[in-house]
Amino acid sequence: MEKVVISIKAEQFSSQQIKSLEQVVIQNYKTFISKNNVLILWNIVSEANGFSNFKPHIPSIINMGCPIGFSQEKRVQMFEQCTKDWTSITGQRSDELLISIIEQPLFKEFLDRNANQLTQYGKLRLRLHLLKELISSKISTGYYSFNSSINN
Amino acid sequence: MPLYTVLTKRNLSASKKKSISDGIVKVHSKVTGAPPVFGTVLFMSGYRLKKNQEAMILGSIRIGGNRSQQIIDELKNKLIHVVIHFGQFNTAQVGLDFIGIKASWVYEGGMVLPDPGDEDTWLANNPNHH
Repeated sequence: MEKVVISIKAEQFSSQQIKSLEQVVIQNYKTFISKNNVLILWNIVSEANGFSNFKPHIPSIINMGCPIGFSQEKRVQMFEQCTKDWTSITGQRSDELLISIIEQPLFKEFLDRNANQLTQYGKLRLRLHLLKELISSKISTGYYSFNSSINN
Repeated sequence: MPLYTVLTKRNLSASKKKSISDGIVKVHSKVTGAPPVFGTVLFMSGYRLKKNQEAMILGSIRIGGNRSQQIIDELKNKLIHVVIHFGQFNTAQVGLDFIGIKASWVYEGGMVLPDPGDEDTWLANNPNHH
């Protein structure tokens, strides 16, 4: 199962928009990158916790992995199609969207790096927090989301 | 890009987050020459960090181009200083780690990002981001 992590500002999009975005990201992933199953994880960032260009606002950020040596031509096709679909669903401008497609070993490092900074107790606490958030969001909304801050 | 994540043990005040965020983007821009327009900072709190640290800066930055080890070292030192200063931490309480990502692997503003040092040409072709 391949993971795609998407960070978005809290309450920026409706549940229906998020479900539509999830569908197009999965579809594009399978078209351009890999036929493997994909799990989308939504990192919901509160307004107090994100800043961009000196303002309390963040772009939507899509991070995903790809095989080593993945063709740049296909990467660009994926970038363009995802941007087209995303901006069509959300009404965002293209400069409000960041997409990275990173070769797998580095992407795994990217995914693991928060946990790698933590004590054993900290790792356990983070895992329990994520598990609780992901299960509860899947039941209530139909997609997996989490707040990456544990204590607010 | 750059995308910085600041992990903290405690939730910082809104004013500290704003000051740290502004400081990080300004330092990144000044040291690397990259335009600040896409500088993004996320805060995540409640993290029990190793070495009893209070804050950890995780930077996802472009590599290659004109980005020498000297620039990376200067960036590291100044970013830690910013977080110590605005977060009111002690020197030993703040850490930093970078992940270097190829510019061609990132798409922002409807364009593949340029190698470090090639931003002027990129911005000239992408006037919405001046």
